[in-house]
This record gives sequence, structure tokens and C-alpha cells, in this order.
Amino acid sequence: MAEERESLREQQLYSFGRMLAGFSHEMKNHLGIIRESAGLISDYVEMNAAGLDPALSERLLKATAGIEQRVKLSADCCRALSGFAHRADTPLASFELGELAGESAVFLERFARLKQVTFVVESDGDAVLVNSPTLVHHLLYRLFFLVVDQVETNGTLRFISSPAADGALLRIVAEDAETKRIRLQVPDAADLAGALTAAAAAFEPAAVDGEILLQFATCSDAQR
Amino acid sequence: MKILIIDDEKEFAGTLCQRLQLRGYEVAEAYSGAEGIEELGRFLPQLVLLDLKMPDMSGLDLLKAIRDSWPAVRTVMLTGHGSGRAAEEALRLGAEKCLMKPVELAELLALIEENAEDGGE
Repeated sequence: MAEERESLREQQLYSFGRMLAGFSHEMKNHLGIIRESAGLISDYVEMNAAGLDPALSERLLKATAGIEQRVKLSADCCRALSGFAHRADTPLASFELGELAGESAVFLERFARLKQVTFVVESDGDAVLVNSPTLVHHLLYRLFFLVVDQVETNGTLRFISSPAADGALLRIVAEDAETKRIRLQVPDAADLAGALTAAAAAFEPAAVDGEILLQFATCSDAQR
Repeated sequence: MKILIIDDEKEFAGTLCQRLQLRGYEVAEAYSGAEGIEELGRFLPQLVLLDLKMPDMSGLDLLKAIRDSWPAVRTVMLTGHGSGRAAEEALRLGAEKCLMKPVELAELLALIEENAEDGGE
């Protein structure tokens, strides 16, 4: 029964992933057309500058540059969404923790901004892991919300990934506005219980010198 | 330099076509694999900008056809994120480069000029 539930959960994640991936591809197509159309307008304005009111010409070029800049930002969001969606393609996969955390950051950054906190994801070397990417995404999401409230206004929250002997290490560090380190409280394991399954059994939060350290283990053959 | 854009997104192909024409390139468009093959034989481009995903034929299959029938034609693939493996395969099959959509025009123009200097003109 538990195996059936797990299989159904994986199928649901796969379906959601495929739908999200399709959506992000579609959005990128629209963005591509918007970007090229804005570029075409600026091309025509530049080519016909001699016959246009200089103030109008400047406004049009400013507007098209604004469109192109927003398209670029939107395309970056779509790329992150696409990467995120494709994580559900396989229940267990080899991935780089920093890259995966970077995808999460695109979606979590807004929540940090609403709390007037700067959220930064850094990589301290390739941290390649074999585990469930969707589960690790879920853990990062839960961890983010468990610690972001502890960061002061105008402070900075950092997720720093690095390689470890049998997997990967994630350091969670917070700083106040003067870049002085803040001591974070280690999340209660019970708060994360729902996110913990066999695939992430080796995930253990611990506090050392104001940092929260999380060890992510590569799954054993038996767990794959 | 003659450039053929093969992409089922007609508006994208049409707008990119105009932007390249404004810069002095001779450009044609095709909106499917079949149309692309027809246009390759008629227009005889030096460079093809090829979408990776089209309804009637994958960009990789069309790339193979170009390699077989028009080996001197250079091909740049236009891809989306999540197409990493397909992009690697395209490079292995002889594509010059894979550019991610939405395409940076400056990057594309640099690539076109690079190919023109290498004998594509």
C-alpha cells in the first residue's frame, strides 16, 4: 500500500513537471516573439531617426529597451521554471546541489524581498549528489521559510553549497544589515518530518558557529 | 550571406527575418521540416537557423538531412532550456552552435559574421 502511494506520488510529480515544462516552453516562445518585435521597432526607429522627433525617438527606444530588459528577466524565470519542472522527470537523479538551490532561489527570492531580506545562493565547489531532486527542492523550500523569519530587516540569508565526502553540504548563514553574522535557530526536525523520507534519511540539520549545516547524502543502491 | 530560418513559430521567424534583412542579409523562412527541405533546395542558403522542436520533424532529423544532402551548409540550432541532451546531440551531429531562446540578437549576429568570415559567404 505504501509502495502504491509512493508510486502515485511520483506519477503526480511527473505529470505536474511535464505540464510546468510545457508551460515554460510556451512562455519562452511568446517571450521570443515579444523580444524580436520590440527589437524590430527599435531597429526601425534607429533607421528612421532623421525623420522622427528626437524626443519621440528617445522615448520609443527607452520603451523598447525596457521591454527587452523585462523579457530577459522573464526568460530567466522561465529557464528556472523549466529546470525545476524537469527535475520531476526521474524520481532519483544525479544533480548539483548549488544548481538546484539556484532554481529554488528564483522562486523564493520574491518571498525574501517581501520580508526585506536579501536571499543569496552561493556555490563553494561542485556538490554532486544522487538523490530525489524534487524532495531536495521541497526541503530547501521548507528550510527557507523556517529560517527567513529569523533574519532581521535588511539582512542577508545565504544558502552555500559545497561537496562533502559522501554527498553534499549546505550551509545556511544569516547576516544583519552591517554584515554581522546572526545566530539562527536550528529548525525543529519535527517541522521537517513531512519532508523526510528514506531518500533523504541522511539529511541532518546541526548548528556550528552560527551556521546551520545540512548534510545531504547520496542514496545507497538499496534506496534507489 | 544567405540565411534560412526554419521555425514553426511564424511570427518569431518573420520578425527575426526582417531584423536580419535590415542588416543586409538575404533571408528566407520555412515553417516546418518539409518546407525547410524544399527551401534548402530552392534558396541554397549558406547558414540555417533551425528550431529544435517542430511538429512534423525534429530539428535533429532535419540536421542529419542537411548534413547528408547539403554538407557545406552550416547550421545553428535554436533550443529551449531542458533540451540539454538534444543540444549535445546537435553539436555531435555537426551543428555550429546551439542558441537558447529567446535569442540574443548580438550573439546571433556575431555568430553569423564568424561563419561568414570562415567561408560561409
